[in-house]
Amino acid sequence: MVGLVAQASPISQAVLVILLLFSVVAWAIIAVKLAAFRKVDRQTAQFIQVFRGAAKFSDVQSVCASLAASPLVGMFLAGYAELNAQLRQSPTAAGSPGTSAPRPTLKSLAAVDRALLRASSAEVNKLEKRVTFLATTASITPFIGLFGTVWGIMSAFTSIGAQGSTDLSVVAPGIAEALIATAAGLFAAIPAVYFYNHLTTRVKVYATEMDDFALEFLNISERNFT
Amino acid sequence: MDAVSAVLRQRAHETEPLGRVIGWSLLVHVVLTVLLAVVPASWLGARLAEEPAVVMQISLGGAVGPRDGGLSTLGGRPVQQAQPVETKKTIEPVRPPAAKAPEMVERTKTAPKKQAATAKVEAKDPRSRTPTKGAEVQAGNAVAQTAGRGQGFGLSAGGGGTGGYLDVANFCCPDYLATMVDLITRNWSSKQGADGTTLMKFVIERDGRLTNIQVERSSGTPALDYYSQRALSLTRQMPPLPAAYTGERLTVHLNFDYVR
Repeated sequence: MVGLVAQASPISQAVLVILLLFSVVAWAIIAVKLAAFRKVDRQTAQFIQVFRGAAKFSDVQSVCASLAASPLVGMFLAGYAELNAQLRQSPTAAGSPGTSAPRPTLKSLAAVDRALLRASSAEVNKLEKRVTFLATTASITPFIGLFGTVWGIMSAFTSIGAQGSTDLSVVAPGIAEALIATAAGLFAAIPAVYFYNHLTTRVKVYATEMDDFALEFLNISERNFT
Repeated sequence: MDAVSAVLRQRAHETEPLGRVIGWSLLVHVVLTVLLAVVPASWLGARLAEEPAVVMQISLGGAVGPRDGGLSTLGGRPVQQAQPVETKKTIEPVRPPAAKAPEMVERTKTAPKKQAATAKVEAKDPRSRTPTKGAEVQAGNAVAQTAGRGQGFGLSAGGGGTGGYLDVANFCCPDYLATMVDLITRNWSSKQGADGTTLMKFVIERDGRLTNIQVERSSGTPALDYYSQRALSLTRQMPPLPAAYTGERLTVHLNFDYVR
C-alpha cells in the first residue's frame, strides 16, 4: 500500500494530497458545526424558557450575553433594539408631568417585523456558514479522485505499450495505484454528503424555530405596546 | 447606523474558530493513513494466495526412478506390510496353434521379434525381474502409520526424481498424477550442468490449466529455478481434473531435481 503510493506518479500523489486536504477541512467543519449546533440546541432551550418566564423584555436582555450561541438571541436583540428605538422617539414617552405615565405605544409593528426578518436571515446565514464547503467537497472530490484514476490508468497503458507486454504483473500495479485515487475521493465525499444533509436539515429546523419565535415576539409586542 | 444593524453586525462577528480543529483533523487523518499503511494487506481483504483449507501431504514417492525405465506407478507403502502375491501377467502374443515344426528347421524371422517385444515389456516393470515367492514383508517409506496417509501411491519418473506432494487429503487418481509428471517432463530435463533441487508450487484448475506457478523453495541457482518455471509454463495445459476429484483446484508441490 505504502509502496504503491510512494511509486505513484507526481500527478497521482498531488491528487491524493488535494483529497487529503479536502477531507481534513471537511471533517474539521463537521466537528465545529456539530459542536456549535449542540450548543445552539442547549442555549435555545434555555433562552425559550427564560423568554417565556420573564415579565419584562429587559429581564430577557440580561441573559442574552450568556446564551449568545442561540439564533433566537440575535433575533430578540434585533427586535428589542427596534422596539426601544421606536419607544424612545415616541412623544408619549415624554408625557406631561402630573398625569399617570401613559402606556408607551409603537409607531409601526411592521418595522419590528422587518427587524426580526433581517435578524432571522442573518442568523440563518451564520448557521449555514462553512456548511457549503461540505457540499463542495461532496460534489468535487469524486471527480478529483476520478481524474487521478484516469490519469493513472493512462500512464499504466503507456507503460504497457512501452514494455510491449500485457503481463498482469505489468498492468496490475498501475491500475491498483490508479484506483486508490477514486477510493480516496469517495472516502472524502461520503461523510461530506452525509453531514451536509444532516446539517442543512438542522438549519431548516432552526429556521422554523426562528419564524415561530418571530411571531411570538410580535404577538407580545402587539399586546403590550399598541 | 440604526440599532438593529448594530446588533446584527455584532452578532455576525461571533464565529466559531476553525484553525485549531483543522489541526486536530489533520492529525487524525495522518494517524489513519499511517494505520492503513501499517495494517497487513490481508486485513483489507487482499488474499495473496489461495490456500486449500485442508492441507495434507501425500508423498508421491520421491525416489529416483531407474534411468532406463519409463514412468511406472508403484504402490506406495506407508509402513512395513505384507505384500499380496502378485499374479504375474505375461503378455502372450497371439499365435496360431503351434504346428509341430520339424526339429532341424530354422526359425522364421518373425519369431525372435515377438520374443524381443515380450522381453521389453517385462523389462519395463522392475519388479518382474525378481520372481515372487508369495507374500513377503517389505519396508515402507513412512516411519509410523498415520491416519491421514492411508492412501499412498508412488511415482517414479525415469531420468530424474520428481518427488512432490499434494495439498489435498485424499487424491483419488494416481493415473492423473502420472500423466501430469509425464507432460511436465516432456518440457524438462534434469541435466542442466548444476546440482540442486527446486521445489515448485502450482495449481491445476478444474479445466486443467496450470496457474499460480511459483518457486516455493529455490535451489539456490536462479537458472535452475527459471528452468523449472519454464517447464511448467510450457506445459501450461493438463487434461481436466478427473471427475472423481471433487475439488475446485489441485495444488501441487513438485520437486525438480537437477544433476550435473
